[in-house]
Amino acid sequence: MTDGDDHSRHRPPEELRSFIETVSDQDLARLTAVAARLARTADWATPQDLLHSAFLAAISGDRKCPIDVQPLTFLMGAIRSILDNERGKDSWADVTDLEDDQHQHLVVNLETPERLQERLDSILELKHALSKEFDDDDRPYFVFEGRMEGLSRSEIRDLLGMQQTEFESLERRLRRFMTKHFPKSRRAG
Amino acid sequence: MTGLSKDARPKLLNIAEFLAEDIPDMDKAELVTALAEEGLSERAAVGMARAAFESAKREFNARRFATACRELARTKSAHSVRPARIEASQAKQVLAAYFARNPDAASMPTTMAARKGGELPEETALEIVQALIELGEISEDGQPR
Repeated sequence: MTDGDDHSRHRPPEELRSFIETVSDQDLARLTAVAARLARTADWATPQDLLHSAFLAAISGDRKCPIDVQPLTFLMGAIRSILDNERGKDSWADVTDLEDDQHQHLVVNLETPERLQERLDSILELKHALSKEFDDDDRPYFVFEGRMEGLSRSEIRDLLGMQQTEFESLERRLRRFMTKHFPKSRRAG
Repeated sequence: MTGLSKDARPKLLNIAEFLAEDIPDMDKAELVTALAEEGLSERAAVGMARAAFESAKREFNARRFATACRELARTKSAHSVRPARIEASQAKQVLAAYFARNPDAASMPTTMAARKGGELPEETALEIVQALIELGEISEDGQPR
């Protein structure tokens, strides 16, 4: 692919840099909110770490924003991908790769398979509190379980036979419950 | 490594996505409430994003500077690379000393000059030290020439 082709398919890094420099305060706050929510599932990541990495990937061109994707949406996706990639890197890094200085850096953030499982187990313990909170209504648990297993919103809604509005209301209540009971993300410093 | 643990990664990502997916469509009041749940005021959230952008720009500038130095060194000298004989952890000290001796270092981006290596990742600092060695600015031990 030539540079010309690349420019026609992706927004240049300079455009993303300019976007971040001029984006509204509200959208900057929105990006931080996304980073903070996502960082709740990883005790090694702070929201600021995720934002830093997403901005760096955007302005350096390490991650490319397709021309048909809005920069704000792209940055939110970058935060999510970085969280997942770093988790994968740290969790599954081969110990024999940790010999040189560069890779030893990873040890600091090492999230072992055991810790990953412990984190998931602690989340699954919410099931009991969930049942109590919703007066033995099983549907919030099905939404939680379904999303965790990778089902789409529409699949779950259809399986539960719920109307859109009712389903969205249930999602909101479930999300409020989870943000209340989840540990908050770690702060820098 | 257990099979069960391998499943944990996509599940945690799915849960994370569920937690964050309502944020793009929130109005201002909902966003302020969501930030408060994260222990953040709107002002602190904006400040955090701006600080992250500033640090990202600094790292990007440092990377670019290291690349430019390397390219210059390659052009200037065809002889074999002399590897730095210092640890990554010492590189920032070596850089700080170099900037102290050369406050007006030519073609140094302003942000880099201001940082004097203070907040650089060790790996990037070592790359810059390596480039300065190749340029003949400092010795392999990081000492002035």
